[in-house]
Amino acid sequence: MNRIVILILLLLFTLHCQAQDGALEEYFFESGKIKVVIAVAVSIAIGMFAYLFRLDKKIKDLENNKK
Amino acid sequence: MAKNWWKIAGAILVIYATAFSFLRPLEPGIIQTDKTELVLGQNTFSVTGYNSHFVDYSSSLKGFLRVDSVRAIPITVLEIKDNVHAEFSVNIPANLDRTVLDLFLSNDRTGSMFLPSAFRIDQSKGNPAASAEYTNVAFSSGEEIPFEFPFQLRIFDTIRNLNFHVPMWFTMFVLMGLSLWYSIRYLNSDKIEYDLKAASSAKVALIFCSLGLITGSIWARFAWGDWWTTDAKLNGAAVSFLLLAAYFILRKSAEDKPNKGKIAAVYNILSFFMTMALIMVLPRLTGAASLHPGEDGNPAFSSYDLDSNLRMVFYPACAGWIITGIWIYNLHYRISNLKNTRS
Repeated sequence: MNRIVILILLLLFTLHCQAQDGALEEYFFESGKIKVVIAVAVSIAIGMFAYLFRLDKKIKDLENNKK
Repeated sequence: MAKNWWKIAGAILVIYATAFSFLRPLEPGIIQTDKTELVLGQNTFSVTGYNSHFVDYSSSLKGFLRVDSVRAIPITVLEIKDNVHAEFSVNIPANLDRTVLDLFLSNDRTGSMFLPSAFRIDQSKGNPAASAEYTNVAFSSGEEIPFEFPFQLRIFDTIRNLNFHVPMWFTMFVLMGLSLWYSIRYLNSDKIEYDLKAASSAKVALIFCSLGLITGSIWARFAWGDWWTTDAKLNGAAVSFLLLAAYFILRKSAEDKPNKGKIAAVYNILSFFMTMALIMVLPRLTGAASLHPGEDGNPAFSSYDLDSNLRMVFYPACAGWIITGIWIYNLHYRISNLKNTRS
């Protein structure tokens, strides 16, 4: 799980390094910057689902202990 | 079902706030002009508006460049391309005593739209008109549209982020307060139940803290131009994230010591007050101009607080996320409690 998180972070970091600032700005600044709001809402959803997966794993551990 | 009413309330509040954060329109405004510098005499420039209804209300579209509180230079409409794009022309007189002018546009639907310091006048270029013509500064009122979010320069649509980014921090504060409460109770009573509760709520607080940092960073990139600024508020938030993380490292490292819970509880009480000082107090004492709203001795959001339309979504968002955070903490505690009784 941790490995996946680190992998995603590193990928995002390289994306950030590679993306020409102009292109990024062009994409996100379209008219009223509404895409920034979507990016923020999506990042919260990703965080919540990542937490759900961790919870799932913990419950599975508990179930395995029971047997 | 009857016991779960608060969870349902939290879910409804979060869904309502998320939906209306996107659905509510922004007030009309001017995003930008193609030129920032005008010369003497005849000039043409084009304007990009936001919700500006140039075509829908083309007959009443008019505007001026404000010189001071009474004088204004009239502008004429050349061409309306669509609802948010239009071209205008203006005749800049010689002997103007101001070099920076504000742009005002209005029609019957939007009322006055305003772009401060839109143009700089280059006095050395162009052919000045024979006579200076001025009109009076007059603000028009548009239709009253309910439920519009405020339009702010450079922020534009991202003002909707207020309903996502800020509730994350409020939830973190509530969960940290819960953690502080259970740490104190653990020190008083020595019941392992309180230690587990303190650890669980601190863990969920850490999740909301990292979500707050990520959403804030994305917002900062597109409102201020950088992922991170060396601001007292931002650095304070980053340090408080580390303080919270250190609590778990401390718990892990003192695993087999008999009084590990006590050490962790004492540290937790300390870190709560450190966090409060770092996020709420120190940024207001630094005195340096901060980009983050709520600095310079002002309570946070004073500029948005006045807007009741934003508050109608912002308060439910905060309440909903706090309830959801407490629910997540509750799940986390029940799992760690099960784990503790099993082993």
